[in-house]
Amino acid sequence: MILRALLIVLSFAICHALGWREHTTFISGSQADVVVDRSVSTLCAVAYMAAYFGSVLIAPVLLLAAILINLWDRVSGMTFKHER
Amino acid sequence: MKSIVRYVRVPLALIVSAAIWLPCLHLLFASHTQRDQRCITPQADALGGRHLELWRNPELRQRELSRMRVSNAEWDFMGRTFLVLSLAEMSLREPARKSEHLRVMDDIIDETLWLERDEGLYFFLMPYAKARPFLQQPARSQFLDGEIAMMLAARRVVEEKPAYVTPLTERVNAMVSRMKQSPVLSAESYPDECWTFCNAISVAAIKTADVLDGTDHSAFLREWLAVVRKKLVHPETGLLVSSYTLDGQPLDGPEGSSIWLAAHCLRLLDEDFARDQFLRAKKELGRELMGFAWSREWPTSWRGPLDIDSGAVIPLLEASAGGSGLAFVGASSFGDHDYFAKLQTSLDFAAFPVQKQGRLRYSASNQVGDAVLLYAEVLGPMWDKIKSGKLR
Repeated sequence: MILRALLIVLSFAICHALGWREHTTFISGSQADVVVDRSVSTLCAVAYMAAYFGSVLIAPVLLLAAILINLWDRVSGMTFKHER
Repeated sequence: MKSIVRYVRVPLALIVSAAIWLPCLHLLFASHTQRDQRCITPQADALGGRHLELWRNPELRQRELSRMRVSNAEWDFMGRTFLVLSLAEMSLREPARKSEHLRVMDDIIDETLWLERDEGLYFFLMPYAKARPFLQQPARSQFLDGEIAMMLAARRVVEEKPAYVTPLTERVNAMVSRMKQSPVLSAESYPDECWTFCNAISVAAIKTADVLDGTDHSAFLREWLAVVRKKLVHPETGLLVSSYTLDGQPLDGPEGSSIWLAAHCLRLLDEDFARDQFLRAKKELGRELMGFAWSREWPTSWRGPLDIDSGAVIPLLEASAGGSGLAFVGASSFGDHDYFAKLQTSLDFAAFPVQKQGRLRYSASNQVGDAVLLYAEVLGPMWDKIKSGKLR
C-alpha cells in the first residue's frame, strides 16, 4: 500500500513538473494555450487532476491503512506474507 | 480464523482510514482570513495584483483574452465589468490607491466603449446572436448596455468624471425606453432572449444613475420588480428564471450562473426580496459536505442544458464551475460567512491556485472567473453607498 501511495504521489509530481496544472483551465471552458490542440490540453488536464486528487484523496488513505494494518499485526501478533 | 482476518483487515483498514482522512481533508485547505468593510484581504490583494498586471502588460492581456475569446467572447466583456466593479470597491476600501485604480478603470471603460463603437454590437456576443434579427430595432443588447452602464456608474461612484455623465445618461435612457416596450419590462440580450442576469445588472445601474444624477426612475423600478415577481418566478422553487422571451415566456428555469448575481443586484431595489432569493438559491443550489461547499447549476426540480454559462458540471456532486463562482458573490453580498468560507475551501482544494510573486490566479479558472472571485472578496462599500443615497 505504501508503494502504491508513493507511485500516486510520484505521478502527481511528474505531471506538476511538466506544467500540466495550466491545462486545468479547461474546467472553465477556456484553453491553456490557443496554439495547443484542445484535445491534447484536455488529456493533460485530466491526467493532472487524476494524479492530484489521487495524491490528496487516495494516497493518504493508503498510507493510513498501511499504518493501521501494521499496528494490527503488532498487537495481534499475526503476520501475512506477500503484503506490504 | 486467521484467513478471515487476512481478508477482512485490508478493506477494514481502508474504510477506517478513509473515515479518518476525508472529514479532516478540508482543514488542509481552509482559510481563516477575516474579511471586513475597511480593508482588503491578502487574498484579494494578490488576485487584484494579477489583474492589474494584465492591464499593464498588453502582451500578457492579449494572451489571456485570446484563450477566453476562443471559447466565448462574452467573457472578455464580463471580465472587464467585474474588474471595474472590483476596482471601484477596492478604491472605496483603500482610498490611498484610488488614483491607481481609477486609471485602470478608465482604460478599461474607454477601450470597451471604443471596441463597441468600432467593432460593433456582435464583438462581445456569442456567434448565435447573428442567427436571427433582434426583435427590437435598432438592435442593441441589454448584456452590453447594462454592464457598460454599471461600469460607468461604478467609476462615478468612486469619483465623478464629467466625461462619463452623458454616456451613462444616454445608456440608461436607451435601456429604460426599450424595457418599457416589453410586457415584462425587459430588453433582449440576444434575439428574443432576455436574461435575468443582464436585466438585474441593468436595474442596478439605473438605480445607481438615479443616485448619481438625481434622476428618478423609482416608479419604473417598482413596476419592474412587481412584474418580475409576478411573471418570472419559477413555481417549484420560487427562484427567478434565468432567461425568457421578450414577451415573458420562460426559456430556462433558475440557474446558479444567474441567480446569485441577480440576488446581489436586487439588493439595490428591495433588500427583503433579494435576501429571499438568496436564501432560496442557497436551499435549492447550495451544497455542503465535510467542510466543502459548492453550487449546483440547476435545482433538482428543473434541469437545463449544459452550456457555456454553467461551465463543467461534476457528476454526482452536480458542482457547477459557473454557479459556484457566482455563489461567492451571493455569499459575500448577504454576509453568509460560513458558506463563503466553505466555498473558499473548495476553491483552494479543487481550482488549482497558482501564487507567484505575490500574485494569485486559479488555473482551473480564467480571467473572468478570477475577476468574479475578486469582486466577491471586495464587494460591500459601493452597494452600501448607493443604498444610502449619499455618494459624496
